[in-house]
Amino acid sequence: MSTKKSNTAGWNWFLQRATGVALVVLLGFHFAVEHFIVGAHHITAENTVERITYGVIEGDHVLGQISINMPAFLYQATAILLLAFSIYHGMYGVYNILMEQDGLKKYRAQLKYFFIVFSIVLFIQGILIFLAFFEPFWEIYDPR
Amino acid sequence: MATTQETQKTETPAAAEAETATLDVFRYIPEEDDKPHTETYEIETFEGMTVLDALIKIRDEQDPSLTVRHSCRMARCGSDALYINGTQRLACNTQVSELKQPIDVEPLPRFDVIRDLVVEMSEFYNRMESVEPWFQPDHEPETGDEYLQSPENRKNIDTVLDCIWCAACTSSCSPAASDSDFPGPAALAKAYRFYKDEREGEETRRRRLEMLENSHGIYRCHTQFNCTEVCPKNISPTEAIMEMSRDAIKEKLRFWR
Amino acid sequence: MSKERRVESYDRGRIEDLGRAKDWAIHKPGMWAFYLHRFTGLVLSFYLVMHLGVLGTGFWLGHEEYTVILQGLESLYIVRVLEIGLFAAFVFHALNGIRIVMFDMTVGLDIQEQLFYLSIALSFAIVLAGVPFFLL
Ligand code: FES
Repeated sequence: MSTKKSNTAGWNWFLQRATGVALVVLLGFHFAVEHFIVGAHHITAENTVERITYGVIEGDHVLGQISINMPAFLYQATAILLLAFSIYHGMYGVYNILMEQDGLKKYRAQLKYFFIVFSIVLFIQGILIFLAFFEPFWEIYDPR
Repeated sequence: MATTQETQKTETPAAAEAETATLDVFRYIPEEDDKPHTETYEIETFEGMTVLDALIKIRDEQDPSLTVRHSCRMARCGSDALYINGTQRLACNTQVSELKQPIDVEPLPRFDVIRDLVVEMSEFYNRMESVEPWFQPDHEPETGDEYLQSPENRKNIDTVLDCIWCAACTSSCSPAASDSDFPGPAALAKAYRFYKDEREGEETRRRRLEMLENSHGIYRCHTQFNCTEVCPKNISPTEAIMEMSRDAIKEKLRFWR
Repeated sequence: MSKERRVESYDRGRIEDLGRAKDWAIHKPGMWAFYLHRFTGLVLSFYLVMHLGVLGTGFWLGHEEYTVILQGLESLYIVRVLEIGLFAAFVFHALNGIRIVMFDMTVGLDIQEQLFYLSIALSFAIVLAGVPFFLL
């Protein structure tokens, strides 16, 4: 093993654990809202706007009529954090699996840049989805 | 009543003594074979027969070309780690009577085969060397010529010191197999032995940790626990690795604060 | 496996690295936990990319199309069943992830097998409880 310092490995590893623990809560919350309260087949653009812009979670699924009024910024924070953490955790995880393969040894540098760029693209896409259901933005932007 | 039961009890092992065992042995002789094949041998067992005894018996009585590495026959030298019935074990430390038959005997997985049950170990030794498994104190001994170790400090490394370099754990570890830059469980357990040694001094400890922290170092452990399961010396490399990575992260967080 | 060989040796190839069919039966709990964690992790990562792709219609096409596409997908029975699979993957990955974080703090290393069984049992319980939410 080389003595060459690469201190990022430890930090990345730590972030992987930290985001993992956070995701248990965030993704659990996401499932609870979208599948357990609202129900995936009841999701429409309208109630997505309600959730993302106003933090109003409304649903009539297995649990019956439920309406939760969250502070908007709190719901928005969970959405953005879920986006960022899941991309980091997922992409770093896959990247690590590939980094472990001797067969891909010669592409290690390329893989790294590919995953960084791909993660940024995913994050931008996620932010755009967020903005699409964020009313103040959508009113200005809406292509129609 | 009791006497008949007793005689029955003593009779059963006596009957087992005359029993035979079937071994499916991996064979590959580079001069003769293009590809490995399996050969089946039947031998008479005796009480307390180990797989190594069985292999030696086959070599002596049936097929003198069978090659197996061994030396001490008492689980001390670590030269006869084999893949027996799907698990890495020391042949000299495994009773034939405890195994399901036919007994599958193969060389260690993930190592290249030189001949029959003998594998190429130099890659394993390179891994062991990569963690610098030698004593590197950063100061002169406090008293006299010797570096004295406190009994409490010695307790930490009691188990990892037992390592006999048999490579069973490294053979069982899939990250070690797919990533040749990863030192593997045996080397990391060895690194732990020096990491925990107070006599080396704080500076060396830090340097060792930094060296192991490399992106193909301790963080490649995925807690498969295979190494812990197969170790014939009951060492838990997983535990050693987890302790080192915990310490490494602790150090980082402390530095950050 | 080895690059510099001192002597001629026979490389048995990748099949030895990945484990052969007959070896799968004798894998220990720790190894199963690893395989399941890795598999569910890959499933979730793949889903994440797909998910962001599908939801992206909300921005790129507009709200009406978003609703139509989502409801169209949800009307397919297979999608709902796969969603249970997704939920199961998440639950196991989360519970086993907690198990792994425990190990990283050197907690419970000696009861790792029991912790694995516990995470499997809890996953089953939680997923079963969740089934009606996906199918009704
Ligand atoms: S022959 Fe020495 S360990 Fe088995």
